[in-house]
Amino acid sequence: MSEDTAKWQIAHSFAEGFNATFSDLESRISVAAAMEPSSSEIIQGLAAEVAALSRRLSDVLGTLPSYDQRQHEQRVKTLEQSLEKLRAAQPKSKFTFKRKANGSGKPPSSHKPSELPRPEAPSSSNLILSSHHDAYLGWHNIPTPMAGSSSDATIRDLTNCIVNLASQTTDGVQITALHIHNLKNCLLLLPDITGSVMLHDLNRCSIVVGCHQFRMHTSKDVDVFVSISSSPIVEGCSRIRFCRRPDPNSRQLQSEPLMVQDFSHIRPTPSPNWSLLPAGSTPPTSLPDSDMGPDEVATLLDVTLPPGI
Amino acid sequence: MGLLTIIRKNRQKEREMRLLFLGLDNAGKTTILKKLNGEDIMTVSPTLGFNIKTFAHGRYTLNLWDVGGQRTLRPYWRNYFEQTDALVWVVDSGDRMRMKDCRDELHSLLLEDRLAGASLLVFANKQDIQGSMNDVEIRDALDLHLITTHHWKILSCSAVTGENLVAGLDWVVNDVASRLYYSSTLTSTSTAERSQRVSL
Ligand SMILES: Nc1nc2c(ncn2[C@@H]2O[C@H](COP(=O)(O)OP(=O)(O)O)[C@@H](O)[C@H]2O)c(=O)[nH]1
Ligand SMILES: [Mg+2]
Repeated sequence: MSEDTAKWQIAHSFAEGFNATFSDLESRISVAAAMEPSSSEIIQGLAAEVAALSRRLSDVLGTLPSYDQRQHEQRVKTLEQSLEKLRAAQPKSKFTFKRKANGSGKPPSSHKPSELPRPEAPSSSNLILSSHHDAYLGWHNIPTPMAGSSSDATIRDLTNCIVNLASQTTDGVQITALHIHNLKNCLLLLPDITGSVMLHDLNRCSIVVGCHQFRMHTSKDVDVFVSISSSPIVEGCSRIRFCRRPDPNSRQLQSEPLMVQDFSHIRPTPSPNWSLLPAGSTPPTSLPDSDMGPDEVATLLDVTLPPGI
Repeated sequence: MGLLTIIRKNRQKEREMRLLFLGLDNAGKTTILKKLNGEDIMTVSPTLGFNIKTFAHGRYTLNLWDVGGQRTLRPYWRNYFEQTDALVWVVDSGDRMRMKDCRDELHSLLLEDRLAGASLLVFANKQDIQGSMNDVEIRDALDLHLITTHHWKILSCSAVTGENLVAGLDWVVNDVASRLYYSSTLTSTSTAERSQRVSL
């Protein structure tokens, strides 16, 4: 009886520590799988930890109830398999994500085996276009978008650039949300986004886009040509001008004026922070498909961007 | 009849619950509410302030509060904490970039006294988007296992397909009801619902 109790306690405390490490490794591997590319360093580190876990198990061989033993072995096997998948999936696109350090090592013992990461889940690549100036940018400036998939996209930290992503040249990549940060003097021709476009800190830009929602924060002097089925919002913005983008695919009433909401002007009076562009304004959509030199870019920006102050 | 019994009886008569939907902007809170209510989701605009929807759910009347999530509105979330029976934390499962922000906001909310005791349902929304993070990945990215102060559960869902939305409400209602209305007589069916918390 007391021997059984002791044995049970050993098995129990071993399982606790084992499961904690297992869960930790499991989540780190699945995060790594989702956030490629993992450097070979990361993968090697994970592999070493999986190996250590496996050793820990063989060290106590014979002292555990056979059911526990099998369970633990199964878990090690699962880790090894996901690790293999991770290796096989290298290298992909260029998105990195740092997992919070302190989450690891804690025992999330509520793990059910059925909750293992779906092995078939395609890891979504994040499309990122960032840190350019005085340039004409297109799909080729975005590191390897995954074909036939959907993805978030981010455009950030550009100055004096023309971004032309209007032509859907990349085999059906669906952008489900677009985050735009910190642009100055830029013209953006964007594809249709199935979800939201979220913009922060734009200064003197023109944007042509189709989307489901449009959320603009802390920006000024921006012209927006948008095809949208909901109301665009601005917050902390000034001198933003809107116009419906002519949309051949939609039978939406082009004449119906956009109802923009200003979240920082919650009063019955009209917001002073945005206005409608004169009816008939046309977006600057006809750009050369070929490359443009910095001088050409500067000239074109000069004539298309809003005046600014 | 003790005071507690009286209080319980009063609530029993009302059988109302207040659910607060929070999460980062663009998580899909408003779309979930519209979908549950059978409304058109194509015209959902970003939320200024808040929306309230009232549903009959079984024997209960649910008041669902949907509060805007952009950074500038988050300080106002606290205005809605009072009398909240459950917090529904909605996550955009495709938004890997802001998972840390999402985690931090959630954990700081859970420190709020006025939310103490509220059940927590995490909706891993937008599962219809190919390549979004699954519930296990989100559970880990949000460090849900660190939560010891609230009953919690995570469910993957989609406001577009409607997947698991009602199942989520079911869990919330059962969890709140077992606490408010028959806390001393847990039925065996709700024990399973609680296994997640017990094993923390
Ligand atoms: N694909 C997909 N899009 C969703 C889902 N839920 C919400 N969205 C989209 O996400 C955007 C933000 O939704 P909204 O409900 O306004 O988010 P909120 O800010 O949390 O209220 C909208 O474009 C929605 O159409 C979902 O489950 N799947
Ligand atoms: Mg909303």
